[in-house]
Amino acid sequence: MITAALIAFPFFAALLLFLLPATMAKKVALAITLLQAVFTAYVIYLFDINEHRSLLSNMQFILSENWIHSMGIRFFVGLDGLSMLMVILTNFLLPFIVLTTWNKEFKNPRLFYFLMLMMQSALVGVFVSLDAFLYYIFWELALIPIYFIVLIWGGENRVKITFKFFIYTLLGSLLMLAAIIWLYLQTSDYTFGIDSFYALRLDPTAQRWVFWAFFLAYAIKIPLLPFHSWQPDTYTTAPNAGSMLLSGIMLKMGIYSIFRWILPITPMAVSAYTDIVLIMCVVGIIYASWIAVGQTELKRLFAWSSIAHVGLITAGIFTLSRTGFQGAMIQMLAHGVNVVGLFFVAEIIQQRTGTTEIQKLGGIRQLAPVFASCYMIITFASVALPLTNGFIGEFLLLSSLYDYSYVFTAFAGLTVILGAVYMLRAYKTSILGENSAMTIFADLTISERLVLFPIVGIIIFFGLFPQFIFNLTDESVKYLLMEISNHMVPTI
Amino acid sequence: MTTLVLLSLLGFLILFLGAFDQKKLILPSAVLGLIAAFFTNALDWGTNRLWYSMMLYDNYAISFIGLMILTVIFILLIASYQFRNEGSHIADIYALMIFVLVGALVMTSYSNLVMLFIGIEILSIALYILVGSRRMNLSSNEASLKYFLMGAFASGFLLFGITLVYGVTGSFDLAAISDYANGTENLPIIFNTGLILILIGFAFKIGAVPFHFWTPDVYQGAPTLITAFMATVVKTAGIAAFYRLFDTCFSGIDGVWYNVLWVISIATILLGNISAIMQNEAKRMLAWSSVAHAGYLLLPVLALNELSSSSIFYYTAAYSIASVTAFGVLIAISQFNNDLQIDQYKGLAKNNPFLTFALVISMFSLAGIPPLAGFFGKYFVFLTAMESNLNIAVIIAIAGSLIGVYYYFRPVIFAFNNDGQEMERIKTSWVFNFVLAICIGITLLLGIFPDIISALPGI
Repeated sequence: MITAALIAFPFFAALLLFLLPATMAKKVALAITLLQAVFTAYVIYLFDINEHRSLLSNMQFILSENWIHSMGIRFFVGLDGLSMLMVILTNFLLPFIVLTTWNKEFKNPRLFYFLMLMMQSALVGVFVSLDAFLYYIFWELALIPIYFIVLIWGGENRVKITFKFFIYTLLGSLLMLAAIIWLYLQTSDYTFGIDSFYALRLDPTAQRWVFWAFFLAYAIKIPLLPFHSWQPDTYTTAPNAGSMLLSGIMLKMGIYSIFRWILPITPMAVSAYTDIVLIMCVVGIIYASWIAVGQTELKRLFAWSSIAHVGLITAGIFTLSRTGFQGAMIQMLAHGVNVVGLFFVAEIIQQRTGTTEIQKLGGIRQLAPVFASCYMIITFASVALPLTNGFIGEFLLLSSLYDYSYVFTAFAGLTVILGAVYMLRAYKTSILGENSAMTIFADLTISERLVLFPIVGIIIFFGLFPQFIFNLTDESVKYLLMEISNHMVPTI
Repeated sequence: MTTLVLLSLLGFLILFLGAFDQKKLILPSAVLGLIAAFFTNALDWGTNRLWYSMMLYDNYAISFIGLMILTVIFILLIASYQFRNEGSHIADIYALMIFVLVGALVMTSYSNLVMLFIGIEILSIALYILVGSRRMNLSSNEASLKYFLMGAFASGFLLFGITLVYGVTGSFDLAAISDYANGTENLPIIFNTGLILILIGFAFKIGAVPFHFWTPDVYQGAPTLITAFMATVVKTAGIAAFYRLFDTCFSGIDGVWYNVLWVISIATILLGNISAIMQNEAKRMLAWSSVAHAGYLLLPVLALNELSSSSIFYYTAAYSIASVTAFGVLIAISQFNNDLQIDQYKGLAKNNPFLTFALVISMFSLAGIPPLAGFFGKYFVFLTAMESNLNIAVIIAIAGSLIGVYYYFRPVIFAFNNDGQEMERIKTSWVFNFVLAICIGITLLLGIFPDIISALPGI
């Protein structure tokens, strides 16, 4: 029941927004997300991180009710360490994302916050679904609010850009739907339950088809290199809260799904295609970093750097090692937090100066030292400086990649160097130095401090004590590895 | 049978009410009569009664008849809004619509090819007049003539096919034809020719490629209400009759018709969707999209397994309700704008939140976005097709529905895209709003609890 409540609460509470005056929308939305965060904290407290040895005993707070009985579709949800991590990410980031909009007035705010909360419900739904069909519904449902958020409140050229984004992601998911239906027809008892899907022993050819149908959907969502072209435009044109939802949480849907659906169902195809995927990732990392170096606008730069980061995360997963998995989990959380911080920094600069062109900025440090320091720490975290949350994840990912092949590591390691180049240069040009045109730049307001200080706190805390994440996800990781190696045994 | 008699009498009653100038009574009596018909129809559930070996009221027929009666009720109630200021011949239009329904009823419950033909003719002849019911309007007249000529051809093909099948089997009865078809080793060429001719006749009626040419012109020329009526009730009746014939008689024999139908359905999906992209006129866009939907509906006919009938029913239900909503919004907007370009949805969202919501729900449902009814319709159709290993067809159909998203989203984008323009608040009657609200409710409900329909036994 707890899991179902986690999904349902934001959506149904959001309906309240329409009963209250529009001026209250922001406060009510914040209250709802805070309540949800407290609720999540309570669920963490109840969560048992001890060892279990099967999928369904790993899962906790399971709820399984018939939904569409005649089709074998259930409302089947549960939490394991991996899901829990994603739920934590979603529910703790949302209050911050709402807070970043505190100084902003949107037209039709009730609809805006309603869509945001609806998105939260859908995201939690994706992360806890144990029924493939239910998972697909939530997967698609998450797309609709963000589509409207960008379409209605977005910037220039939003119609074309949102459209490309929608069609692109829908293409991926429809192929995934076809694969899900096909898998369903293979199950002995005609269900969409994840346990039945895991129990399938597909022959290698079938695995290849299923793998690509799923992987395409995720590669578009994450996005990996040839499928990334929707991303920078969408991030740039979206209102900032939308970019945060997209990059902080939504793209993790793709990474999470690789763990949850691709690896255990098609392990042979995964190991057959590891090199191809790694090449996609590594080329993407270098390409995106290279483009990022040339960017002159902060939001676009953060968008491209995000492609480089998620490329590395995906590469770590496909090494199929415990280090890689753990690194990916930590880095998912770290990237989510950092990218929200970065987009908020861009938002603050945009509000104060009316531009995010790096060249037009500068000299902010003297005027707003607190802001400059916060931005600096977030920058350090995203270039993976030791003692920040970015370091542990990136280190584990690179070391797992090194175990797999040092060639890939050499190239992927460029991300760290190039990342330092563009992030530090952007910081230097936009914040430090002298700029006679920059005369007024108010330091952080209280609501802004309430966002940036906790983010900085999280960055440092998880930089020093990452153990919590290891503990939370370790059982899921071990189980996944066991499941994969079990599947590998039959003839390939 | 009670339903059939009731509906026929209702048609005459309305004609008489019109003749004696009792205009106020027309709509209430039509709606009440239809509601009564809905219940008498529902009472037959599970009886499987065969009438004089001509008509079989099985659950399949009863569910389709119920759906069509419900759609007509919605359309009539929306019509009350459009016709409130209009001319004197409302009674004729309502009566003709009910006669179309009588024809549709016969088409879904026939168990004899003669009844099929009679049903199609009752439906078509009333429809020819309805399409031309804007007597002073040139395009309406053109549409009527076109539809008549094309319809006559289609009937000709169908009749020719029926004759050939009769010539081989010696019977019009579906059971007898089925026995012959399944019991004969090498079917004579004449039988197969007849089968293909019947298939062509049906393809004409439901507007499948390459027999679709009449659809856009006729849909555009006809009064919007009649267009809505054709896109929903007539299409439902056509596909229901189509499936009934092929399921009962020709399921055992494959080969000839299978390949033809495969090509037809794929071509229909692709051409319908691609052509719909290029339309700027809202009604033409919906017309082409209805061609595409006919293509999706042919997939379960092709698959012909135990899921087919329920997936066809679910799809037509979702599609009909969403279409009624879409056409309702279109009618409300076109009150103020004479022509119906898609960009005239511009700025709708600003002052008309309810109409915008209805537009979004209907377009998303037609495009197949979860968790709306239209998505489950597509899902069931794909599932049915994949169960019969029509994987390639499903992949193409998926590509088609991706194209569909493009044109279904255009009105929505325009509605929210209010740079410069704002549409003034559109006044609508409470009956109209009520119907739209019910349709939205059904679309959501069918999406969240698809079991309501898919669990119906014996469809």
